[in-house]
Amino acid sequence: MITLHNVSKRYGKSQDFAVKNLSLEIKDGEIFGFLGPNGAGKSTTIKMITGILLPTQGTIEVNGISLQQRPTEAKNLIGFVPDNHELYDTLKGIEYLNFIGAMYGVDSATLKSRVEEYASAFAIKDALPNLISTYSHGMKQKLCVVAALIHSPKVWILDEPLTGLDPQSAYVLKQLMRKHADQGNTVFFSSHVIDVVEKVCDRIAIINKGELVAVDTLDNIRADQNVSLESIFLTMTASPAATGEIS
Amino acid sequence: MTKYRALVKMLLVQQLRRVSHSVKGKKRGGTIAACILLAVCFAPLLVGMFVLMLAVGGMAGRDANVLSMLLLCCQGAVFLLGSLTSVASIFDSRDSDRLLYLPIRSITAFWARFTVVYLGELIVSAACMVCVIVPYGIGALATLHFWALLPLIFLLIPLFPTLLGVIVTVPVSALFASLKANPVVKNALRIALYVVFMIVYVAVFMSFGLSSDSSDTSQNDIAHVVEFLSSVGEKTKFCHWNYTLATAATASLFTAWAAGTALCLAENAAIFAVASLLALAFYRRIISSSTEGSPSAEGKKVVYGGGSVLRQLISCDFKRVLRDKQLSFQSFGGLLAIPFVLVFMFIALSANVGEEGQTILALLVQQPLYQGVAPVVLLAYMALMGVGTNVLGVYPITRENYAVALLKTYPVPFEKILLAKVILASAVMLVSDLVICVLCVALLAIKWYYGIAMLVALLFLSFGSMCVTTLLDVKNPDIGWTTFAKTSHQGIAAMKAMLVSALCMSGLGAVSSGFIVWFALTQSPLPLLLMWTAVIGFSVAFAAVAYRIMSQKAQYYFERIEA
Repeated sequence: MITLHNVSKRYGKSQDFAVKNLSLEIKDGEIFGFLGPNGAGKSTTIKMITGILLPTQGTIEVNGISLQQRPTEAKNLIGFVPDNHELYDTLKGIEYLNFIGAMYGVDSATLKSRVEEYASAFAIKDALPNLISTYSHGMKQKLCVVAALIHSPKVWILDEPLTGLDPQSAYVLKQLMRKHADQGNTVFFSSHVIDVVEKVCDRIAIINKGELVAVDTLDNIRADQNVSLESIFLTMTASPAATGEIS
Repeated sequence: MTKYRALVKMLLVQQLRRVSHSVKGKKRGGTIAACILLAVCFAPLLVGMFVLMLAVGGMAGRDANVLSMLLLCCQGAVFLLGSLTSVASIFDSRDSDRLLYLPIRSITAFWARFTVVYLGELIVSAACMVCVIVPYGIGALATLHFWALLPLIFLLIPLFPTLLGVIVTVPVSALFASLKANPVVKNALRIALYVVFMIVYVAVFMSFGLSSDSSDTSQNDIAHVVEFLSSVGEKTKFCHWNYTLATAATASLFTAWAAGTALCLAENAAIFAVASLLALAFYRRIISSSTEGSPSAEGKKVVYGGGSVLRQLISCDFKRVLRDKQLSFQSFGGLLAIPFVLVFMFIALSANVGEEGQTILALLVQQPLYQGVAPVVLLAYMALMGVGTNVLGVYPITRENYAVALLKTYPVPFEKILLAKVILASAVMLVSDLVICVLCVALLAIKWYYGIAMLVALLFLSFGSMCVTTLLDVKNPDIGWTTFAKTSHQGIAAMKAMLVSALCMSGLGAVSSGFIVWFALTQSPLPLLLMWTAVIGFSVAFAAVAYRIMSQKAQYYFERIEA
């Protein structure tokens, strides 16, 4: 479970809030979709949950553990797939996974079985002895996903995880997300691909200009069954496309 | 031309604009204080140089050989202080791939980068002008021909070293680009080439060394300097572009001035053309290869697991530095600087003086206080210089660049992450410290047991200094660099680190001074024994206190990094 209570974030000396008074509760056993236009505050929110950024105000808890007061314990529960691949290009894939395994306290035997399982599922097992600098964008993305799974985290946070993945790997990832949630864990996932969010997520939140505009199940948000999530999203975020301003 | 100007503008803005990655923004107070203290420390040196050059000019007069040698010395300073590392940004910048897909010729990109590097080197050139060339001209009562050429001298001083850097780097980089070896081997070869270069530099310096053939003992020091400059200037006429410029600047007739100036410009243009042709032939290939990964690792074994958190942090960090072209050269090449300084010191002290042809070193070793004072002075100096040259310790967070965000997501206490950085930096420094102590014993006639005491003290002083520098970098990391060499070259962090180290060394001086006085009065070995016990104790205490402060502040500053 992830709980955000009145979380706000202001960068540096700016007067504007990137995220303002955000309160959310993501429950165990659900896949939670986080939508918003570019610059809405999605990545900022995710970075605060994962500990990369400090909130200006508010509190964040992961399975009841405060991220501000007990950050190490809270981070131990999180598996994070970032949206950009600032990986260690001069490490080999397996070296990076060994490193992550050590960071999260995974013993060698468990690490080996999980790496083999996930690396095979994502078809990057043969690339593990190579330097990450030789990987394509999609392969780096897959490596990030594998690295986020090897310590079997209670909470998965995935920031645009499907970007760059081939259809097979995207399918595998969606299956894993579903399986993980069905086991009583939490999956928090942000994406721009609304079709995927519609099919995969149990509940969604829409953020716009740093503020939450909707949080509910898809059915409740889409009260009229004939309206697509895309239309709802465009309307809620007051996009020019939705209002017909773009010809 | 439009694309060239646009590129230069973009590169300059990228280089000069600094974005703070700390929550509270960049605190300027520490930087300003560091700059003021540096100015205070270096001002006497610069003033001394100014006065010396005034005297040299007064004694030498308008001597083309002397001026030619002064120009060469200024270019040597530019080369060592700037071009040697700045040229890396022309070939090793991490945004090279972004330029490759733009509709610009590779030679345009090359000259845009070269221009930015050259403009940076003008700062060193300005310092050389103020401290060397201008006072020489004043002392020599130079004519209008000299002063009219000052702007050209200012522009030409950094040109040759930068072009030389390009001419040397292009074929070497092209060769490395075609090598199929793995990155560690390539980086080791680069550092080996750097060592060879430094050895050649030292050999050239030795061949121009002061001779003892002067029988006129009534000559004062200035006269010796003038004689040295003139004789070496005569030998270095092969740097003809400097000699023609010096001839023009010291000419009496306008025709000689004009001819010398034109010839100098033509010769510089020829060197410029050589660099252009080399760049045209190889630059694109070099940049393309730098964006490629290593050869496939088919058939290599996969090994799972890797030990404790601390061990993994250290080993992965070490592998990343070792395999990265920019980081490895800066990190390991920089540590070779101090041993070379010791070798230079030995060469300088090997000059013959006195009536019996004894060397300066021999005369010093005969002094009763030598074994008491020299090891401590060397220890303080090496600890101070070591801090400034240990890039691994001065920029532990900056060199992570945007990957620092990943470090913040791991369930590992920040003090442990920083401890791993400090241990790595100290371990690498230990190798350099060992070489330094061996050289002190072998070359500077320090007793072997003092050498061991120096090593033990250096171990703890280095650790403590690395804790301080790590904390300074965590407080204000310079994230977002494209060329690490440029970042480390421009960063004030190394200077702040050296200033903190200087304060620590003054403590070392305070600890040892009483014992040295006692030794001077009694000539007994007991004061020296107690002194080294106190020095090592001080070093251990410094390391402990520095580590404690770093541990306490780690979380606070680390959390406030926003990358």
